[in-house]
Amino acid sequence: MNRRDFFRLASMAGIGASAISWSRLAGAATPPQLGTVPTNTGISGRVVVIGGGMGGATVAKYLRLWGGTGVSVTLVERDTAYTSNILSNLVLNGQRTITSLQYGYTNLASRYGVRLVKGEVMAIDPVGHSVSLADGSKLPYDRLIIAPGVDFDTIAGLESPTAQAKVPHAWKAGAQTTQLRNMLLGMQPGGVFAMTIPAKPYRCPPGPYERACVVADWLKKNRAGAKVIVLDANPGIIAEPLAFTNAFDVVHKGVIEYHPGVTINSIDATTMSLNTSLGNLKANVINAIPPHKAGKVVVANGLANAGGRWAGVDVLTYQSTAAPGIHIIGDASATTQPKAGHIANQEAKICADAVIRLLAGRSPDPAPITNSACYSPITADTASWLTAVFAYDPVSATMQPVPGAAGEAAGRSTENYKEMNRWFNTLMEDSFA
Amino acid sequence: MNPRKLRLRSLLGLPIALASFCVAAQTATTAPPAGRLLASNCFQCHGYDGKSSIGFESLAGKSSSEIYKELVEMRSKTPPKMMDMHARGYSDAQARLIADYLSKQTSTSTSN
Repeated sequence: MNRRDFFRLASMAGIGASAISWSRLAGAATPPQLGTVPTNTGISGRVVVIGGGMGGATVAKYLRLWGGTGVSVTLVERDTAYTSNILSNLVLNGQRTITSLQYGYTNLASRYGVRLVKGEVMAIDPVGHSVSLADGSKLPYDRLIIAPGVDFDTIAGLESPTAQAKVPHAWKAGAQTTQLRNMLLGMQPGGVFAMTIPAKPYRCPPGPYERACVVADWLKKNRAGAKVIVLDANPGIIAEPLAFTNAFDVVHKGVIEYHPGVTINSIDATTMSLNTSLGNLKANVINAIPPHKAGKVVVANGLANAGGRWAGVDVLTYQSTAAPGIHIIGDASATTQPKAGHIANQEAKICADAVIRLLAGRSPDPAPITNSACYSPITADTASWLTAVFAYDPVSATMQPVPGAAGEAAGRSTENYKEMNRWFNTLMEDSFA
Repeated sequence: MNPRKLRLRSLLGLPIALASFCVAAQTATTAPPAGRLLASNCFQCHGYDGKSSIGFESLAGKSSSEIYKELVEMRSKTPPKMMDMHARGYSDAQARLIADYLSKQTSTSTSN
């Protein structure tokens, strides 16, 4: 595919998204509430961003908004549009389509002057400061920012593509999400939907519990007697324990069976059975979410220096502790913050601000603050929420939750469900519009 | 004053003057506005620079004292809604910086 095709496809993807949630933002003119790129900051430099997810798109946009026209920003992305993981569990109960979760990159180019390059990264030269792409081209940089998201381990028994095709994780929104929706539709009354949750850290801590709720809610209404069996590698519910304990024990009582502290030894995709520390289990649908690690580009370039799985970073700048000049934001970095889209957006702003200060010969902000926020649907019209504010602790050089500023909703409500949709639209606007 | 002390003081001043010259040479650029990075924690829900048109309350151009007062009042609301919980994450000084930054942004007619 050539670059012109990329732009055309990206713009088509953008139109899809506009029709659903950005109707008031459609059109060539930049809406007045969005920012414009200043011309006279006196700051200059070349920044390459790898990955156009929540972190990558946001950092590209804010580097231009805050750095000005002198800061050239090139965004390298292999796909024509981003598919949001946030709200993708609602594809499973038919409330959302995958298309409604897609966001193109044309706004970043037309409104903020971000240069888009569709391509695959082959190698990073941290000494010569350049990125090599699969088509042989090289992108020189003064600062490189990597936001690749996560990659997955292979669960024993699911080594072959055939086996993997029968047991989707659907933990990167896209074709697998639609596949899992179709598998759910194919279930019979009284059927079993088994899902596995990996040990933390993984992307979106409340996400698997939320999925169990959304699936149970749909099965209850559409496939009488069907069950959701949740096999959690963690010793207990790791996010929104009040909301999900209530959901499992009260709201979806008799539909969800929750088992903490379970080890998955292997999965047999032919017989659709799981070999676990609790014994063998047969299911009609298996949704196995494998253990996570940083995206391939981080591991392949020697940047996964935290246990060989995640990228160690200085949270004042998100600069790698393995290679100067390279910054890693979002799910791939090893920090004390959750791996989730909302906080990746804020890490991106901290990183953009720090890179601009460094390009200007200044020091990074010594006291950054980030926030995490998310809503979790419990049924088709109620949701709970979770939020936390993190502040830099100079003693441990980590981001620590501010005491008293982290917690979950007192209970699920329809008001929370409505707020969830507003939050999603504004978060996506801040990242992609 | 002891003339010896005076001479020392003027010598001490020299490196300081040189240092500030170096800083000026390095940063011929404008420093980032105070409070901008802190206030960017609001943008995910309240829009860029607090100029919301599709989401939660627009904050751009509101009076600094009003934003500060709201943030402080939210801290004691129980049971906390999400923003009440969130407001507990900022010190008085940080809340003032955020309020000052947002109050200086121009509101847009599209806000609701």
